[in-house]
Amino acid sequence: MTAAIFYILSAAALLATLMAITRKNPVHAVIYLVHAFFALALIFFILGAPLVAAWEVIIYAGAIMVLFLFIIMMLELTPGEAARGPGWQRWAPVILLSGSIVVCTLLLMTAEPQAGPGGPNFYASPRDFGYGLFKEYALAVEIVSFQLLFAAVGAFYVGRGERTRRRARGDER
Amino acid sequence: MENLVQLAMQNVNFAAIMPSLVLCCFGMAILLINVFMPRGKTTSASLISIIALLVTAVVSLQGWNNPQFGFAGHVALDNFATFFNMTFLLAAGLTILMSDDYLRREGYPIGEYYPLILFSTAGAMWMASGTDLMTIFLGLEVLSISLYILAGMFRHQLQSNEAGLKYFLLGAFSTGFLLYGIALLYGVAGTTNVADIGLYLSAHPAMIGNPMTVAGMLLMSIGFLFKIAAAPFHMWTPDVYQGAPTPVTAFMSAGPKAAAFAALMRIFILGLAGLQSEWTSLLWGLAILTMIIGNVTAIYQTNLKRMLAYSSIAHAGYALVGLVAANAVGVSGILFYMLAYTFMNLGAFAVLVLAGKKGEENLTLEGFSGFGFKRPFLGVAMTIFLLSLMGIPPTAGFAGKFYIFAGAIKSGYIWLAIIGVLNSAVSLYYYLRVIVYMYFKDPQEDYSWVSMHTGAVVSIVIAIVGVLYLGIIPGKIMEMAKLAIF
Amino acid sequence: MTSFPVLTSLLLLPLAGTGLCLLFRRKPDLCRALTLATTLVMLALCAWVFCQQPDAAGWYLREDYPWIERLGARFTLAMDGLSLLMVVLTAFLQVIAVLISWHQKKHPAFFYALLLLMEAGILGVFLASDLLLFYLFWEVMLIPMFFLIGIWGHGRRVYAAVKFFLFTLAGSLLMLLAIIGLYLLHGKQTGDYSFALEALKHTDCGAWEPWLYAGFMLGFLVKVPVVPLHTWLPDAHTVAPAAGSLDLAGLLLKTGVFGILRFAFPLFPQSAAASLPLLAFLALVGLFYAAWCAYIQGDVKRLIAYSSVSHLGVIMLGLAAANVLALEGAILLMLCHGLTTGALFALVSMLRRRTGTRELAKLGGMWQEAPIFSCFFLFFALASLGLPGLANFSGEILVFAGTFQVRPLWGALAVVGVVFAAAYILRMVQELLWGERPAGRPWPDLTTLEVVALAPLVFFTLWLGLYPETFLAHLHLPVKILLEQAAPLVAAHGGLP
Repeated sequence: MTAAIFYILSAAALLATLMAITRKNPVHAVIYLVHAFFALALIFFILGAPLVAAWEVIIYAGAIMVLFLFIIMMLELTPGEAARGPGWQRWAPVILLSGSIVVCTLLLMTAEPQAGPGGPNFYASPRDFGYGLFKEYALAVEIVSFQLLFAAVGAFYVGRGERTRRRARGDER
Repeated sequence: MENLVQLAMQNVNFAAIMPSLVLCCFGMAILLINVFMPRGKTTSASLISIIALLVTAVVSLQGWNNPQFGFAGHVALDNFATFFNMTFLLAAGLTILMSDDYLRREGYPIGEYYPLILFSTAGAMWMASGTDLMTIFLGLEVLSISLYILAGMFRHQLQSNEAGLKYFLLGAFSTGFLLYGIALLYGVAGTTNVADIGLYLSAHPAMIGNPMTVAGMLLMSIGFLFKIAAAPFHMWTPDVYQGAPTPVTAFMSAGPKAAAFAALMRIFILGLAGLQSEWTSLLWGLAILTMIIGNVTAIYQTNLKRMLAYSSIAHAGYALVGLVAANAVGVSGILFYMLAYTFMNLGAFAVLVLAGKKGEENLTLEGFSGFGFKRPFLGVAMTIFLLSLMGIPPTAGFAGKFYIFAGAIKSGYIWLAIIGVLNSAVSLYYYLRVIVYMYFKDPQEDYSWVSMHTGAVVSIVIAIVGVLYLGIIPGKIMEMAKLAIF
Repeated sequence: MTSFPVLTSLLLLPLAGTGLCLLFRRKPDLCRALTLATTLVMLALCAWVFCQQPDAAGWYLREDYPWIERLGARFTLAMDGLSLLMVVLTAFLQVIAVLISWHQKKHPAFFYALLLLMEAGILGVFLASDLLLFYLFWEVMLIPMFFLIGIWGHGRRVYAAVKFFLFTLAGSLLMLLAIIGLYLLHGKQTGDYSFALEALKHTDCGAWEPWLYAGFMLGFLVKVPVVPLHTWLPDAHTVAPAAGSLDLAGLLLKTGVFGILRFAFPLFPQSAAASLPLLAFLALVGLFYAAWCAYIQGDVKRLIAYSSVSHLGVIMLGLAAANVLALEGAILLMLCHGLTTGALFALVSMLRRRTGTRELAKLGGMWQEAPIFSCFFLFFALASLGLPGLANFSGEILVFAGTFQVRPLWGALAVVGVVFAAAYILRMVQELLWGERPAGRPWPDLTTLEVVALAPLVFFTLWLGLYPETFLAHLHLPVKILLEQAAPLVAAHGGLP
């Protein structure tokens, strides 16, 4: 049963990612990406990592995607040409994806907690996860924090030039 | 709360990460100082960076013959890491020395430049001293992200933008492969520790032939071979090298290459020793392909930065030969070669930095006509570096190639050595052509724009001394390279 | 013997001269004086060694310092009779080279620096007794020559310089592989990883021997050069400046033959013995082919370049005969050829400086126009042809005598080749000195300086022709030792002495 759910979810994640990168309308792409994240979160859950699953939903599907949508709307990106064909063709993939994800979620919720979340006798509680992160992988966490600093420096540098660049463009005109 | 802190401090041994720690602290300090400096004043930042590198060198040398381990076996400051650390520091030092006036000339006197170089050096150090796949991977990321920014630093130049973006996209792609490979290996061995993977594979020989192990090894190689710029993952190199600011190109050609070699060597030799026959046959083919593609394509280049980019591909091929040999001579040969390559290639780039006009349109073969007599010091320096890149004694390039090919012959890869030597014969042609233009053609211009900036001249002098020292009396460094391998 | 490191100073002196020339590049007169002083001091040192007696093993001087201990390479210099003669020739010709390029106008400091650097490289090749050290000098010697041809050459100088560099380097890279192979074989057998020539002589190469020998020989034969690897030489000579041609013909070609005698033969006697017929064949082909090429050349310098290839055919034949007489003759002929051909190249450069051309068709009547020049030219041309009493004759006669002892057919063919030499040399002399003089402005005769430069060459050409024993005396012991070490060489010709 778990195996079947896993394969369904994997297929859903793949399909959603594929749709996300082929859409011309950025809002549509984001919606598909959210689907992919949901499917991934469930897969993490099946594999015995509930905390990662929760973060996947909260951070990726929640925070980051909302940020994406926000920026897309703020920049008023012109949507690509509207999808052709009858309405159901446009809606079918979304309905299929969200349907299958919802069904899988329900199945997992109703399954026996003991039998539950499947996998090869492996279950990482938030406590285990914390220990792993701050005991074994403490250095890695530190490096990642450094890395975010440099990335911020870079982003700041690249972004800072916007004003001068616009001015330069004005001069050309 | 106290409990958590104790927990976190259990495995801590700061001595093991001290070099990179020092670099990062200095880097952040420079970032802070930049806030208070007037725009365009970067000399103090470059001086502080040099001091940072010197301090780091002293700190790093503490690990020589005094290995430090820490952080649950994720990092080790052993002789191997120390040797590579010195190479990175040298590359960073020469780069910073040649940068200050260059950045001013090109109109980008940016304070963030120096911290970014320091950060990427720290990333390289984590790659060399990482004994866990996660540390190595994160080191690679730190190194790369800084370099993506540096490559695209000239924001208003299309070529630089292209370089940054291309490097970023392809780099991210290849890192994905690397991560996938790490995941597969983790799936096989249940650990990301390099030494533990090795132990697991020797305890479970049946897993060695497992497709998952082999696939993990292959995918991981892709990630590193991309950074090494080995064929067929070299496509990014010419455009990125040509488009990036010249000192950054210089750093890119030496630092990340050495770092990726360090990581590759540690993983392959310590972790995947069981798969040696697989990875030697893979690298055997790739080494030949890399040498041939690099050298043959370099012949057609007229832009010197681009020519050096292809030559750097070829040199990656020579160094791979040492890894194929996989014996003490070949592997310590790679260490030696990376150091030698750092000296000669950065020296050559330093000459380009001085010889270029703003925008560097003149860094072509034609643009170097008669350069040697108009600018005797730079001409002689460039000649020495080119002879070293060719592998002519008594220069570092010869000693390095000798070392590596001796390793290959010792392991019985005689054809590989012959192909390598034939390739260096091909490479003569395009290096020689630069000399031909510098000395045998009549000057078209008087090169009056070339001014001898102190920093760049110092870096050239250091490089000349290094090239000749490693070429004439390489004994001491060879001894160190031998002590540095596992 | 003295504790003063003569051999090391022989290498360091020219290097110091190079450095000084580059330092004082704005003062050409000072550079010129410095260079001449350096070469004269070196010549004096060599002359002093020439008067010494060797020890029982044939060594005049030996110096040994640690170098790259990790690889077992040492800084070993050694001088036996063979290298002594070569070193003396080098020091001598280099003085002449400075004299004939006294009025160098284009970048003089750089020019003299390169001359001295090349001298250091060539001396290193003749003295090194450690294979890695030898290879190092072997390459160092190339670079100055490359620049000499490329910067100061005439005509297609870039093409010729690059061709010269690529040809010789490709050959020597194969030699490098062979050196590494031999080093590893020896290390594996004895556990002692060393590049020392004396140690490596006792390596049992087994099935690898022919390959290693081939690697070494390719490196050397390109340099000699043996037909069909000779094509770089006429091009290089045609464009090279006077001093460059002198060094090229007088010294660089000799390093190839020297390498065979010092390294290839003693290291791989079995393969060497097996290859003697092939060597003889190549030598004879070269002798005839180059003579024929020389005959049809219109450019005097190119003609002499081909005659040079032809003479080296005779020298190679001497090596192929591999007995005492032939080997001593071959080495002696190297000295003679260095003097006479070097002098001819110098004369041709002087000619070109006056007339602006080297085409035989545009020249003639020099005998009336410039009698001193013509006397010198006739003298060296006849020496080159092998006139008895002059240098080349004594070497050639020894080679032929030695060859007749073992392989009369080869000897007979070679003697026919010398008739060819007479043909092209006499044609050149006839057209140049007595041909119809084309109209044009008058051609001045040799200056005092030029006579001073040429006079020592005349003196030694006569000495070598009349009393070669002065030089042969230094050769008896090394040749004997060589033939003892490479016993299969003697056996190859049926064990004749």
